[in-house]
Amino acid sequence: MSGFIRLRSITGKLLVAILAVFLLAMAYQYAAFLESYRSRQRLTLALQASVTHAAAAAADDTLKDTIVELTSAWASEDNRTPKHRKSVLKALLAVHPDWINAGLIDTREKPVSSTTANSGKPIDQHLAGPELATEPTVSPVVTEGNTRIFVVSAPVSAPGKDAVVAYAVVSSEAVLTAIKNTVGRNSVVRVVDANGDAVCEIGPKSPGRPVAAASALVSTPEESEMTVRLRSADWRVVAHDYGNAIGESNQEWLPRAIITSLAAAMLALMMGKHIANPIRKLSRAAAAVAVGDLRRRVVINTGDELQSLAQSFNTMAENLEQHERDLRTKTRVQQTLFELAGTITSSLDVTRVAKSITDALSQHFHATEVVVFGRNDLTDKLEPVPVEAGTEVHASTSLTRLAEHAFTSPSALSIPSTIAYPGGVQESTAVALPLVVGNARVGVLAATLTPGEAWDTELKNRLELLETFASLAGIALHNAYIHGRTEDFMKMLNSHRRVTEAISSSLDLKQVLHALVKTTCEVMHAKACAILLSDQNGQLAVAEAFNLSKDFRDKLNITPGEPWTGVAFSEKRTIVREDICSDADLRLREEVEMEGLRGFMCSPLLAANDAIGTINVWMAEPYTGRGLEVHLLASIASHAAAVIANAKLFGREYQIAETLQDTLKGDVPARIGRLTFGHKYIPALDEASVGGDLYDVVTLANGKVALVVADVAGKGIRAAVHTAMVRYMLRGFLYQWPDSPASALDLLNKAAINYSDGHVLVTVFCAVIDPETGWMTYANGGHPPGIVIAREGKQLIHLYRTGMPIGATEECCYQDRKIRLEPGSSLLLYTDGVIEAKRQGSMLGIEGLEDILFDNAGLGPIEMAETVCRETSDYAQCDLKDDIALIAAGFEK
Amino acid sequence: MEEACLVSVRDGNILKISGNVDFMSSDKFVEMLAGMIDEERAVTIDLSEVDLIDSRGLSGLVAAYMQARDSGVDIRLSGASDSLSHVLRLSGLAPVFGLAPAVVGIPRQCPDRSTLRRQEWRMTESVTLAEPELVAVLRDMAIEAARETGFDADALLDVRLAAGEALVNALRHGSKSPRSRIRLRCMSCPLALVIEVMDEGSGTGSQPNGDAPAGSCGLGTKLIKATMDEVEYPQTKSGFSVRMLKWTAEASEL
Repeated sequence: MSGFIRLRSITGKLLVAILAVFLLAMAYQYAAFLESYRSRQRLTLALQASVTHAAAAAADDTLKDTIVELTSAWASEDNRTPKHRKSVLKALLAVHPDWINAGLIDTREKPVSSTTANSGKPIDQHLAGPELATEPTVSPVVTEGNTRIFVVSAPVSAPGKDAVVAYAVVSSEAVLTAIKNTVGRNSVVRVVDANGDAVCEIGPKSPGRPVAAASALVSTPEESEMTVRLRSADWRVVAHDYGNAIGESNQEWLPRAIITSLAAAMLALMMGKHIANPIRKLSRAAAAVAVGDLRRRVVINTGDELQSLAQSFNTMAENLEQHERDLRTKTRVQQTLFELAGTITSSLDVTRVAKSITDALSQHFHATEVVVFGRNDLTDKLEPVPVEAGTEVHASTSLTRLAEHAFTSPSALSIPSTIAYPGGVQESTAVALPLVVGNARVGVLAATLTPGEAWDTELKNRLELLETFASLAGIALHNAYIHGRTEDFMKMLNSHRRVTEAISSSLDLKQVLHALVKTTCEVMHAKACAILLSDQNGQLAVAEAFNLSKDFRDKLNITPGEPWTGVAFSEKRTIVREDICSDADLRLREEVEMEGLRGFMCSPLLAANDAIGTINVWMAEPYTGRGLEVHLLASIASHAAAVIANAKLFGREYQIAETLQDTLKGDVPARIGRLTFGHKYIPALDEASVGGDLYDVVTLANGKVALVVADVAGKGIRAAVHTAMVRYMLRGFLYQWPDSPASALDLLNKAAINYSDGHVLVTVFCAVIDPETGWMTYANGGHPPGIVIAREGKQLIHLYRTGMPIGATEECCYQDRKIRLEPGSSLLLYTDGVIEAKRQGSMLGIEGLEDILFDNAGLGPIEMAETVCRETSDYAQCDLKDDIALIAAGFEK
Repeated sequence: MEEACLVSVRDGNILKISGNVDFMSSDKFVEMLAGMIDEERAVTIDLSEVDLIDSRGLSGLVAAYMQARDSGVDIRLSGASDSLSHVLRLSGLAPVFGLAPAVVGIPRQCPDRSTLRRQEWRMTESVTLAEPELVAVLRDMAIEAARETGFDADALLDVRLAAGEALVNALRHGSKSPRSRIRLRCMSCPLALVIEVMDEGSGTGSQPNGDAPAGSCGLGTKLIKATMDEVEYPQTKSGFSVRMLKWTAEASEL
């Protein structure tokens, strides 16, 4: 069925059911109707039979009576006179109103006499005249105007003797009346004569015509007609008695069936609705619950299974609602905890963490007093952590004691107490929770909790919740502590790095000391700083000071062992005085007070376990620090000692190198033959390094002039030594090969590789010029190209390298090249400091040098050397990173 | 190396030219030639003492030749040396002057350029202000480099022609201001000579020079291509550059 009808709604199914009920009711109605119709039909047939027989009997009786009347009236008066006969006839007519006429025919008389009661009545003529029958007869019906009449005749004399026949003309009304009295009004009865003409009939206007529907449904008219033959005449009685009764029911069964079916359907509909409505309610409620409306309930009071279903549903919804409420509560609690965790871990500052812990407890746990105790690393004691920087927290004694207990106890402690005050009684609980991270006890969280309006009922009495919070707080506090320590360490490291950077930036002792005192003062936030170094006499004197008056500096002359700087120096330990003004035996009290110095620290400078001096730091405020600064100063001191020692040593080395190089530059003659010379050397700004640039002008044995410019890699004494080596070896080789600088370079290369430790790398430009003709032979060992300035400064010729740098590879073979210096042209040789001069990352380059030379055409060699140096220095904005050495030779016209 | 300047001597209807007919001197002789064409019915140009002729000189000569022919003057070249005929043939102008066209030779089989990487290079570089006199100086430097490379006389002539044309182009098209410079860089190894001419212009095409005889630019480039083995125009950051390569006889033996 469900497969047959897939209806989505109960209403639809209901409608189908109702339709079915309707059709079933209709069918039943029709069956019932058929049954009743048949029984009624049987009844009608029986009735009809009885009616017909009754009618036949009545009609028969009427005819018999008429015959009897006729015969009896004439039985004794055979011979009466015609007059007599007439009166008898008239008497008969009078007695029988239905008789229209009566007569007597006597065949004995000749002619045959005929007497009638109403002579001349035309009716008689219609009658053929009764035959002289021996038996009473009834004639067929004749219609006379509006009246149907028939003749009854009977022999009144003895049979066979006389032939007298009496007759009566009778109206059919006589028969009708007789029948009417016997049959019901509704019966349809017809009396017909032998010819089939109707004698009389009773019933509705159209007798014998049953309703077509009924006839179709029930039977044919012939079957329902009933005919009874009369005994006294050849007449028949035909009855149709079923017509009206059955026809009426035929017409009315359909509307009635419809009405009853409709009623049944309505009833079914109502019943259906009665069942469907609660189901729909349930369904809507279930849908509402499904989308989250857990408060939805269903009220069904049908008292049946639906009601119990609704109750179950309500129970389920209630459970769900309860469940959801629980879940929500849990979520809220968790969320609160989560938010609190976020808040208290949002900062890494101990004070801020304490503040947020306090705030969280006040807000969500309604704590009146919250104190966060932290463990002091140094004293290993509990101390309240301030919630604002620079303030102190005063914890009540009871809370402090509870906290101390909790610090050593394994779990939380809580003491309920009741405080009575004028307004009433307040319940409160003092709680102390140890803050534990791993195995480490970080501190204690102590609070007094009181219920109040802001009391979060969900958090109420939930010590375990507090414990969870405490574990979070412990982590936050621990992190903050660690971070603080790391910060301190970082700060110290950073300070140390700054100091190191400052003092490593130079190798000059004076600069190192200056940077040291300045930076130390800055990083330690000190008022003043000084470095005292021991002199030849063992006395400590100020070598460099920052922010100290000259007067004080001069007076600060200390004997070892004298407090406190002397003590630090001789005992090689760092001394800290919180406030030197409080020292009784302060030697320079007046000066110290004038300078405004309070806190004091002094650390010895130890180089190779020897104290070479001290570093002193004074502060404007008494020193209250945790000792971090002391460590910092000690570490600065140890580093500074090494740097100072180095700088002292380096100072010596630098002096040596400088002296060496000064002697190496030598003198460049102003003129040899037609050649004039200009030269220039600019050391790089970095004074600590002595570069390896060299230039040399030598007159050779054959009268030619050798020009050499070289750049020895490296700095300092080693470079200076190499420079000297290159210079003098090259002089020797050139002297030997005055026409071939390439050969000289070959020899130099081999010497540099074989006779030095292999760390010599030199770029060299070597030119040999005939001072009379201007012919020049040159060899370029990896050096920047020399430039010939020809044609009045309009043409530059680059003299590129003809071999590798000296010391690069033994395989190298240098080439000589020749070029003639036209009269008026010049040669410029330089080191890479020129073309590598930098400005904002871009180099001057050979093109830049070309620009300088083109722009300053027509200069003599001295001016040219000056100009190129000046322009290069300008380009680099006076910040040359490398030495510049250049030599210019002009060939006069 | 002293170059003979152009000397044009008119002797009746004969114009005798000696020395170099190049970008500096061609105008002078073209002028003189124009004057002669106006006056004479037949003109003979005696080239027997001409040392060198460049694209500018050639185009001047062609222009004069055309003008003469248009005005019904009979113009004739005489005494063209082998090298001069060579240039005329290279330029494709030989038929104009009634000379036999160049014999189209088989293109030389060039060695692979990767062989150049392993070579020991000698480099000569000079930069000058963009002035005509200095162009000749630079050209001489190029010839000197070619000589050091070991080219024979014919090849030297080719190098001279090509370097001259490249330098003249640089002078004409690459000099934006009196301070503009021309850079010549010669790199030589036993296998080849590379000559690079750099200027501060943007190439011949974009800076047409109004007074240059029509077709001379194309002629110059054509001559360079005809005389050097490989020509390329590398992009430089500050100007236009032409790089020419000529393989040596040693290279062709490879």
